[in-house]
Formats: sequence, C-alpha cells, structure tokens
Amino acid sequence: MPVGHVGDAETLTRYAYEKSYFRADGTVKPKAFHPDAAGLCSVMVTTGLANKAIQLIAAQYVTPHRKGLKLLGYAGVSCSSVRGVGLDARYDEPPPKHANIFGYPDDREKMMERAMLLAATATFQKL
Amino acid sequence: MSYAAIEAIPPSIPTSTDRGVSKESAAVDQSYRNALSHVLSAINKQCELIEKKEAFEALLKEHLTAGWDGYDAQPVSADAVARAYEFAVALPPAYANADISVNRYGDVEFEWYVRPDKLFTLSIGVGGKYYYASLNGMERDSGFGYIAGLPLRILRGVSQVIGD
Repeated sequence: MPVGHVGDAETLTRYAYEKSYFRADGTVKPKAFHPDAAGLCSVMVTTGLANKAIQLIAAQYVTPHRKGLKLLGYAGVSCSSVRGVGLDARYDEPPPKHANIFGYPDDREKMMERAMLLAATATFQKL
Repeated sequence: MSYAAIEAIPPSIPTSTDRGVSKESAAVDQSYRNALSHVLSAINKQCELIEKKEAFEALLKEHLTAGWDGYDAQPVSADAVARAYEFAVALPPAYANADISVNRYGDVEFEWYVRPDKLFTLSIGVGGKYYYASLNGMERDSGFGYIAGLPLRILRGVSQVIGD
C-alpha cells in the first residue's frame, strides 16, 4: 500500500457526478477542484490506466457512495501540475489508489485562484 | 416568353416612397415606428427577465439537498439565489452571458469564460458576500466583498477577461 506523498509523475483523477463541474466544450471548471470542509479534494491515482479501468475504479469504490448519481466524466491532472500551482497530494487509502489534494489556502478567494490554475491544466473525459 | 418580355413586367408590389407625403406625416409615421420598436424592446426585455427568473428558480430547486454533487456540497440558500438574481438582472447586456451554477459551498457561481486560462468566477452567497477570482493569461486577481449594486471591480475584472 503506497503511503505519503504521491509522486510527481502520477496522474490524479477527479470523478464528476455533477454536470456543472465541466463545460460543454469538454474543459473542466475550477469548482471541480474545490476542497471539502476539511480542505481536501478526493482523487484516485490512475497513472497509465485505460479509460475502462478508470471507470471500473469509479464503479467499485466511488459511485456506490454518490447517492445514486451517475458518473458523467472525469478530470485528469498530473501531480506535478498540482505541485506547480502550490498544492500537494498524498495517499489516503483505503480504498486502494485513493489520494487527497491538499494545501489549499484558507482564504476562499485564494483557494478559488488555485483551483482555477489547476483546472486550466486538467483534461476531461466525458462519458 | 422572351427575356425582354420578363423585364417589361413592372413589380407587382410598389416600394414605399416619400413622394406626396408631407414632412408632418412622415414625422408621425416615424414616431409610430419608434413607439412600436420601444414596445417590442420592452417585451423582449420582459421575456429575458422571465427566462432569467426561471433559470434561478431551477437553480434553487435542483440544489436544495446537501450532497447534490455526489460529494458533500451544501444546499443553496434562497437568500443567495435572490441576491444573485438581483445582481444578474442589473448586469449590462455585454456582461449577461455568464454561465450560472451553484458551487459546493451553496453559493451561486457566475463564470465568464473565454478559455481555461482566461476566465472570471464570481461566487455570491448568503448576505450578499461575494468572492471572485480571475485568470487572464499570466495575470491573476482575487478578492471578496458584499454585493451592493454592481461592484466596479467585478465589472472591470470581467471586462478585462472578456475583452469588452
């Protein structure tokens, strides 16, 4: 079980169950990377995995906890990009491959800025 | 029928002409046209307001329960929606094309988007407290305050991003 910080070369996936977390042109909105009340943004480490495998992880570990909502797509971002905007990521298992993006500023407007920078580097796979 | 014969047929509907119309009559005609245009414009504005109101009512309805995003999003409050609506209807037409949604904090979010590194996001919450952040290439800006009318720094920030 990997522990501690996620390596720079890893890819982090943020699953989207809400249509307003991405745009019609297939880009990711910053709010998809807003942290929860604990200051964490939940992601899965999916480096090198095919789309089907990424969806399988969601089906096994994420979607069952999403109140019957349907997976609409997922955003991918490299861990080096996360660090590049002044945030960080560490493993938080179980479930396997689960990690959290953390280090958001306490000030909401500064947090929005970081999320904006991160979303600008993200790719989106619509389902 | 030869080409020359077709050409010879006069138009069946004569075009309007000012011949034989007094200046006074033309002015009255113009004033009627202006009045009609004013009424149509008012109707259009009313329709836009109704559409906008419906969009905000839908926001409230769709985000009333906690966790609406599948994670731990807070429900949107009627106060935040009402204040965001007031802000939206006061926006000049050039700024009215923002995407409107709710964020996980239960605030109404306006997004003016050009491309991923050129956008302005404004979040309006309970009590009219707002937060904004913008990205314009290498330039960044962010801040917060309380909505009272149309905050100048918001308009200026949006204008810089959408290039108006």
